[in-house]
Amino acid sequence: MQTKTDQLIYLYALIPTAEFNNAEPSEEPGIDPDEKLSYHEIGPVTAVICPVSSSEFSEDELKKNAENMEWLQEKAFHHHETMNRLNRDFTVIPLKFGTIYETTESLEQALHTKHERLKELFTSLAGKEEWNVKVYADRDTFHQTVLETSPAIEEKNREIENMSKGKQFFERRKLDQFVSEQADREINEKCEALHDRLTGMSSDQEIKKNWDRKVTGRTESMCFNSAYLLDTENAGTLIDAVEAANKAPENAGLTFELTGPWPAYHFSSLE
Amino acid sequence: MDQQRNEIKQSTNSNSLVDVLETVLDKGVVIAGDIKINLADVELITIKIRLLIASVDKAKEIGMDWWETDPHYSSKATDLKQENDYLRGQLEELEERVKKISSETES
Repeated sequence: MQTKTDQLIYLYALIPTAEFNNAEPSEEPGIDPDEKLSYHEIGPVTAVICPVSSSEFSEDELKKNAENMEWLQEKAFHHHETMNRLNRDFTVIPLKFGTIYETTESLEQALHTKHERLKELFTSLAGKEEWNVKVYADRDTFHQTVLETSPAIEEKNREIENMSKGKQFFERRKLDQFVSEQADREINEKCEALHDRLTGMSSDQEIKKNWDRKVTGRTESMCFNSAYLLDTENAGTLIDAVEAANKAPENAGLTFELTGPWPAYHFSSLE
Repeated sequence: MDQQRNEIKQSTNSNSLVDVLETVLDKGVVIAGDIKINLADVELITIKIRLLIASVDKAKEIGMDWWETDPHYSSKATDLKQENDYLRGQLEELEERVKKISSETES
C-alpha cells in the first residue's frame, strides 16, 4: 500500500491473519468518515487501519483536536464502536485511541519487534471476552440495610436497651458512627466476595480505580470497579452471579453493574 | 441468556460514558506509534464530555432548543441569508472594480 506524504495511518486493532482469511471484508466507515476501514496483512498479524489526513491527525492537529470535546467524543466513540464490531468477529488486540503511524513500513517495523508477544496474546485471548463490573453504593439505603440485617448491630442494640436512659442517649449516638463504619466494612466485604466468585470463573482479572461522583455523574458513590477475562461460554455464569448479587436482600442499597462483552482492553498489555 | 445479553449490550451503548472513555482512552495497547497523543487525564475529559452531553440534553429538556423551530428565528435566519447574499454581491462588484482599476493603471 502506498501512502502519500499528507496521509497517515490510524491503527485500531490487530487480529490474527488466520481468522481474517476466513472472513468477508466489510465496508465500514473509518475514523475519517470519507475513508473506509482497511486490513493490512503483515504475516500472521493483520492490522485494522484507516488512512487519515495529516491536516486532522498530525501531532499538532491531533493535540488541538483532542482539546475539542465534541471532536474527541465523536472520534473516541467511533473507535469504541468499531472495536466492538471487530470484537464480535475476531480475536482482537485493541489499540489505544490515537495510535498513528506515518507509513505502513514503520507500522510493520513496530509489529515485527512485538511479534512474540502478539502471538502469546492471540493465544491467551482466543475464545475469551472481557466483562466489567462497577458497584455503586447508595449509602443511606445501605445503612438501613445494615441496621436491619447486621448481627453486630443487633447485638449492640440489645446492649443499649439494658442501659439507663442517659447512657442510652450517648450510646445511640456512638452507634450511628458504628453503623456507618460497619456499612463501609460490609460494602468492601460484599464487593470482595463477588470479586472472588467472578475471579474463579475467569482466566484473568484487574481491579481498577474507583471514579469520583463528578466523573460518573451519579448520586451514589462508586465502591468497586473491576474487569474480568473469561471464556465466552462462561459469560452466562458471570451474568447470573452479578444478577444474584443485585437481587440479594442483604445488598439493598448496592447496585452491581455489568457491561460487556468488551474487547480485551485490560488484558492486552504488550509488556 | 440471549435476551440478558442484549439488555447488557444496550446498557453499554447508552449509559456508560465512563466505561467507554476509561477503556478507549486509558487502556488498550500502546505500540509506540509515530505520533502519540498525550491526552489530558481521562477523569477531566470524562467530566468535560459529561457536561457537554448534559448541556445538550438539558437544553432540549427545558425547551432551550426553541431556535430550531421558532418561526421568528427561522425567518431571522432567512433575513440573514438575504443580507449575506446581498453583501457578497456587493463584495464581488467591488473586487471587479478594483481589478479593473489596477489593470488600467498597469497599462
